[in-house]
Amino acid sequence: MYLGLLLCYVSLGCAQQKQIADPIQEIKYSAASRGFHFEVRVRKNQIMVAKDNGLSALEDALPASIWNELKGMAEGLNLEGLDRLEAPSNASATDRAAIAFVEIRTNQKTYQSSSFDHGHPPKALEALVKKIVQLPETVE
Amino acid sequence: MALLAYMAVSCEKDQGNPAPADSQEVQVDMSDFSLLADSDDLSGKSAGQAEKCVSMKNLQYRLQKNPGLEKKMYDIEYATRKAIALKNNGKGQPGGGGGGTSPVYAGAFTIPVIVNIIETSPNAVTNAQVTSQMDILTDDFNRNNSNATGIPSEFAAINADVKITFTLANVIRKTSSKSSWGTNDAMKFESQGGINATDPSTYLNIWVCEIGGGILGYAQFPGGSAATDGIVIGPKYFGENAAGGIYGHGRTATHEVGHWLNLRHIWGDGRCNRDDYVADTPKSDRANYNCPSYPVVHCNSNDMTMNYMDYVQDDCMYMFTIGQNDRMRALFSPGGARESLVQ
Repeated sequence: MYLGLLLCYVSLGCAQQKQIADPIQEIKYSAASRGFHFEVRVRKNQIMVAKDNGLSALEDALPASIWNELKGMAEGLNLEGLDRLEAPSNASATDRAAIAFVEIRTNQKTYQSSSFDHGHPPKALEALVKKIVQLPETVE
Repeated sequence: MALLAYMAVSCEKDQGNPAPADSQEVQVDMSDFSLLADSDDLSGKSAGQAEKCVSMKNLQYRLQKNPGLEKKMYDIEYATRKAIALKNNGKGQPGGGGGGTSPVYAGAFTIPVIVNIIETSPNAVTNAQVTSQMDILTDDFNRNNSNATGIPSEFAAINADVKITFTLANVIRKTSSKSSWGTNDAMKFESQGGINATDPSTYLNIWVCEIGGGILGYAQFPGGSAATDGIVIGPKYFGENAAGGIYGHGRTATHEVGHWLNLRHIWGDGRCNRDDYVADTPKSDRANYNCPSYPVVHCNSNDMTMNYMDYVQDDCMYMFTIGQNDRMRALFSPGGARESLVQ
């Protein structure tokens, strides 16, 4: 396996090698502030949504196409650098925005991004966050 | 530019060059100061001194985008740290009620408050809410919160009496059908259907209106535009109000006034190494919510979850620390950013 990873450095397809070695199991988006909580977790075949008032999780089946799309987006990220991404804003410092982060769990490790304002993810996470935040409405 | 000079001074100091002579003989280390969230985390990276200047590079980037504001905030931070350093060195006299030469203003004083209410029907926000909010703020800033019996013994000695009283100067009411005002200060401008601020150099302006997006309230740090200076609270969470549930006991305003008086969130808006710039508050890497049981540990020490600058519910926050008090009161020193409130 490691020889495969080594060889892949001199060719294209490293991401695929890494993915086979340590596949992504779960992607989570969380946003919280005083009096506000919003969380979406996706796995293969499953989406869980938690909102503040009810504190209950809505669990649903997740279409394979959506999971594959999100998984693909996550695979394109530099997971090791997730916690060093620069937030484009810090409105949450005076409570103008909830505090958000993305968590990606593989077989071996959980990667948590640096925190950012809910609604203003770092550029690298924009596509993934936009997609995952919309899911509770599209997957009812 | 003067700010670039500050940056150069800070980096050189890290590399062992002597700091420039300061007429009042304190050294002010600004190397950890950042206006960003925790993404420019400097710990665990290269131990080289030059790395400490990364936050200054980020500051430079921010300055290009909004030069005036960022420089003001930098200057205020510098002045705050200098005032506290002088106080800790024993320089200057402890101030009486007249301010005088104290580096950190020590006297008790009063802040008059203007309450700007934008409600969907007349008097939906009651006078009882208004007066109870003044009482709650005054209690909290005079170490008179009845929940303070819950302070753990390790924090008891640093529970601060801030000695600021809040009095109602005026209530301005406006009716509007707008269901949410957002967090971009629309409510602070008559031109956008809101209410203009009343002399923020003399008054604390509190806007009460529906904010939306699950936000209970927000604030503006010192150094920002005068027209938008003050705090905003949602109507349910203003004063003593049963409809606010666990956030219906007026502590959102206490938290927001803390920001308005230059306090950061107690977890420093970042990981363990990101500080709130207060020495006697424990480090933490995250906000605490609801009502945690003591002790809670995140960065090898017990979190001070009962501090007004955490994110716990109203009845579970009941103290400022002495260090936070010093930081707030540095604003009222001669030349301080909010000195006009005590003149």
